[in-house]
Amino acid sequence: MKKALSILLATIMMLTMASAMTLSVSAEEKKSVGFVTFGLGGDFFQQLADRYVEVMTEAGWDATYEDGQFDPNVQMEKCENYIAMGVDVLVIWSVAPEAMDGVIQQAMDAGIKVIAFVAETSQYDVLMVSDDADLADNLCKMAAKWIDETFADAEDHSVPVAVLSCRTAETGVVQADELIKIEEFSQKAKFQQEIECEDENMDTGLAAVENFFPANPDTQVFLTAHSGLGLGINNYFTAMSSPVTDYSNMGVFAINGDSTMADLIKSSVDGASPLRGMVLTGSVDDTANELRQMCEGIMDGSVEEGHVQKAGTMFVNADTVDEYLETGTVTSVTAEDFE
Amino acid sequence: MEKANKKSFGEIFADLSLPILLIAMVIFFSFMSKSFLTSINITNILVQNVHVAVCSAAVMIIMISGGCDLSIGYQMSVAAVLVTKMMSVYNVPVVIAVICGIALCSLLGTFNGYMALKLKSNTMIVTLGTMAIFQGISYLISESKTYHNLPRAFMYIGQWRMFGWLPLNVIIMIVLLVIVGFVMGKTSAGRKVYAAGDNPEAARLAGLNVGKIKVLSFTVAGVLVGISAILLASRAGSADSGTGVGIEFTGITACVLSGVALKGGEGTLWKVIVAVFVLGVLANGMQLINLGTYPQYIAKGVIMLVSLYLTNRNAQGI
Amino acid sequence: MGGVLTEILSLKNISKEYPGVKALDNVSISFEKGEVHALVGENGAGKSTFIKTISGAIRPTSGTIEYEGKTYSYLQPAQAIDMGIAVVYQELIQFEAMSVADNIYMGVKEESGLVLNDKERQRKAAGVLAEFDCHISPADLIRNLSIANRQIVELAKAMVKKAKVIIMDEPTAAITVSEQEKLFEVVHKLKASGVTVIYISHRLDELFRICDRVSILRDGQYVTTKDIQDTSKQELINFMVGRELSSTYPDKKPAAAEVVLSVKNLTGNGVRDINFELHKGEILGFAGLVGAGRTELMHLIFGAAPRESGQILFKGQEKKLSSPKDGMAAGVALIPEDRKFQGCFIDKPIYWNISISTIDHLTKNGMVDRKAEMELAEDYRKRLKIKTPFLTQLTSGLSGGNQQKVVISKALASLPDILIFDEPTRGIDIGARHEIYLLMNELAEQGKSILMVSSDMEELLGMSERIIVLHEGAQAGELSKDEFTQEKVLALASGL
Repeated sequence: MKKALSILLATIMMLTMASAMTLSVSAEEKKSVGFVTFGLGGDFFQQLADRYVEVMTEAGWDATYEDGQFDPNVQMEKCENYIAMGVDVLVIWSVAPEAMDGVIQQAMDAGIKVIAFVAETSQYDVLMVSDDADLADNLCKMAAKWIDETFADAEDHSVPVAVLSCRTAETGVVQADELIKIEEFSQKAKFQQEIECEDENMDTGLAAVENFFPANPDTQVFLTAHSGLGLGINNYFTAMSSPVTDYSNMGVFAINGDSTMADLIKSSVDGASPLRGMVLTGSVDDTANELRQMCEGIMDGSVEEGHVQKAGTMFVNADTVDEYLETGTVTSVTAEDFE
Repeated sequence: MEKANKKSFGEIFADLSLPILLIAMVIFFSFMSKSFLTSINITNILVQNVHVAVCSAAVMIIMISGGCDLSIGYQMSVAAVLVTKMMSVYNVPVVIAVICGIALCSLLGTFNGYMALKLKSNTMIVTLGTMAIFQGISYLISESKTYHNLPRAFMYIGQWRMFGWLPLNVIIMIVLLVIVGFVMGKTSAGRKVYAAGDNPEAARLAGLNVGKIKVLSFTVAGVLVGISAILLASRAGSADSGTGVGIEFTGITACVLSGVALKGGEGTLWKVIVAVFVLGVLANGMQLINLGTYPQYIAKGVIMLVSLYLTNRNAQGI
Repeated sequence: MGGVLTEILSLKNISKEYPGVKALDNVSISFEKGEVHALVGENGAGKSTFIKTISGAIRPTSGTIEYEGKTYSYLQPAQAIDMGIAVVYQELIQFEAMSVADNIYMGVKEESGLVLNDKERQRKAAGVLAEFDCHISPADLIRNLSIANRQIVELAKAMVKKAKVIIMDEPTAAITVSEQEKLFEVVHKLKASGVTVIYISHRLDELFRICDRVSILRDGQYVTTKDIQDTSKQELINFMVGRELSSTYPDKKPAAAEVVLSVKNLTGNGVRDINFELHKGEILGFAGLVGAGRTELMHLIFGAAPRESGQILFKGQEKKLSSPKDGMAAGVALIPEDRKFQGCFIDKPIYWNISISTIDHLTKNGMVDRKAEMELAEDYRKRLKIKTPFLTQLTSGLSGGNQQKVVISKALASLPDILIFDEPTRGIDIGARHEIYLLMNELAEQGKSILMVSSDMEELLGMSERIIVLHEGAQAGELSKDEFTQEKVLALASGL
């Protein structure tokens, strides 16, 4: 048993070393880039990482990604590994930007170009952001439009809106702070209560609404910055024992959902679910291509150091969900349509 | 469970301390929130803890046998994504998918126990390793997707209510717990699990096959974990690779709070279940009185320390 | 020898009582500076209690300890270490994964303050070891050293701590002859530097090579102290034994001729080439020093350890013994030497313990038949006179004798033909012992055969019909009832 195990381990090590050697040979000719992801839960994260590697490889780069596992320490280690491997560009989507100062300095000292993705680190060569607060604002606008149209006859500020938040990470805090200002965006909405959740998981969202709704059955709209919580809310209302079966006066809105969420939004058109819409930071394809432009630009000098690239917002709702499901992006509707 | 006939007041109090704590919490939250002591909310608390209770029973069996399993969360995740993917993507009949999920989990559990036996290693360390393996398997199966278009028959398991009010999954939980309680407390198989965990050497010299008992404990726990995954997925109506992750800590917490010995050989099911509901009522009640996330963490820690103090005053073998 | 000026340690009128047992009874011994003073006695004579009194591990019930002119009624462990008393235990307590130097300097204050300086430590450790003329590298890990070298490391540690009295407990029990020589040299060097060595050993030969004086304990009492050149091995044995067998051993009918167990050339688990036969209704004793392989042999017969070669025949038939379960199926039951860790489930109730090995036969429709289980336990409670108000009492709440009866009940519940009693009365008080002896005789007369391992000489001679003596894993001899003397047993056990 032990012998077999040690042989297995030895074989794996040999293979790893062999593949590492072939890699290092080819790396001499190609430019290389390493992407430390936020984490790989949910297909948005995974697809982005996969698509990005594809796009970069097509463009002749040696591209890999590492799972950041939602953990700043893990991210730091992965960065250090990339620095040790001597990549040309390091892309980092940081969980805790302030924790990355040291390792980013280290990368820069080693002559590596650093692209901070989504989260703003204290130093960077390029910053690609979708402003967290902007995104939440856009969700509010989308929700406000639906509320004001659906409840056009209601009195001002009479439609109760609840917010499910998760304030364990900075993004969650910033976005929750925007979402609770829904009354500023909608004439009819009345902010009712914020429900704080311990994590962003679907079953946490489900339990939270289960606990909340029986005591507040008049609530008609739920906003959340987290797709997991959004899915949980939707699952509560579509379950067999749901107290609500007619969703025409019910709306759920979330940020950064995946294709499953899009399917549900589509089904809301037929009254099969209350999930009305979500906003996303650009499509997977758009984002991957944008990343490629930045990587190439920073290497050939067409992008200045210190450049800030702002990502657009995609609006997925009843009108645009078909477009999104077919093309993976939404261009027909932009932020201006909701002003 | 089986102590001397004459119990001192202190011992009785230690036995009943968790139920007393639970009642005290119920009274507290009833005063703090009108909506706490309503039939809907009580049902909510039950329904939300069905999968936790079943998982905790699995954790208890493993801990009594002298082991510890950190991979339970990912076992659940593997089973949940397998079952939901089979049904929503490949249109496999519900019964077959459910059986596959449970069978797979029992295999994963057996694998844990067998590896610990063959590597002659601590189960906590072995399952730390297998946890990573199961995590990988789960993501491979799920392709990082969420599966939600589940057949109605499957949803019945987690959402149907008998007479319009009695949730089916609560009934399933009660049946499972009665079976586990019966097996552990009343059968020779259960007796052997206690013996193997309490004193492996004495058990070996008493003619018991300690290795086999420990591996089978993991197998049985795997079956429970598989069922638990199905209960959770059917209640939620969707599953992804995050389903169930982290539940092992809730389970271990409930076990330790109720006095299940870390060294093995001791533990009582009803106390574990009461501990599960202490944690469940706490989470529910804190939300109803709208306590913020951070105070919730603190309150949770305090309640855990209090219940540890209450149950373990009469010493626990750690 | 012996003047007020050179006396370093003196124990006066020390008694230590445990419930039902007097471990030490009014013992007075004094030790001179720079002598090697042996302490001998049979197992259970009170040697370890005596050492523990000096090292501060226990408090004596009465008596005083005089050390360097000061009088104490007891010592604390830390105090004993500070005063310069060091103990090298038989079971070495060391940091296995640390280096020799780290072990020697563990707990010693560094000159450089809080920072550990590995090189400096190793250099100093090398200096200490060089004084002993030993070739041990200070950087070696303890777990890579031989037992003898580990002991030398302990002695070096004692030197670094400026020990004035070093107690060595059975240092040669587990080491080879050539290693012994090395160890003796170190002891001589310690002695030359003025350290007092209290030397405990079962091997009487070696005392004549390294000791100055020898004190004898017997049954917790002090017998005498002799200069080594004024005594002989035979005299020491007489002093150690020195008493008539008391009549606490009940008479028993002689065994039948039928052979129930025969062991042929049995090798494995640390014993080799064992041959004997056990007759129906016989009590066969096994003698030997600690580590002679008696328990190991019993585990082979019970199936708790794998054999390498040889045969074990039950009523003429060879049985496969790969686990205790097989042993039990062959009709063997074991009452292990360590009650707490092998014999019973101490924090479980009495009935639970009695039924556990036969729990599969106590089920009805898959359930444990609680009624049958309690009846079984009640039956044994009556037969063995277990003193308890309730069978639901936790076993830990019973006295040693009653705990042992629970363990015997558990063994008997599997209805064995052959019972192995490994140290049947260890830690049991006199009154309860007698009951166990009566029970053993009764079982033998009912046709059960008994293998009894005991380190209690009196018990061995009193209970056995024959005795097989083991020495370092091999069969040193067999004695029949008319040949029984303690001297003969002790001589065989010591390999003479």
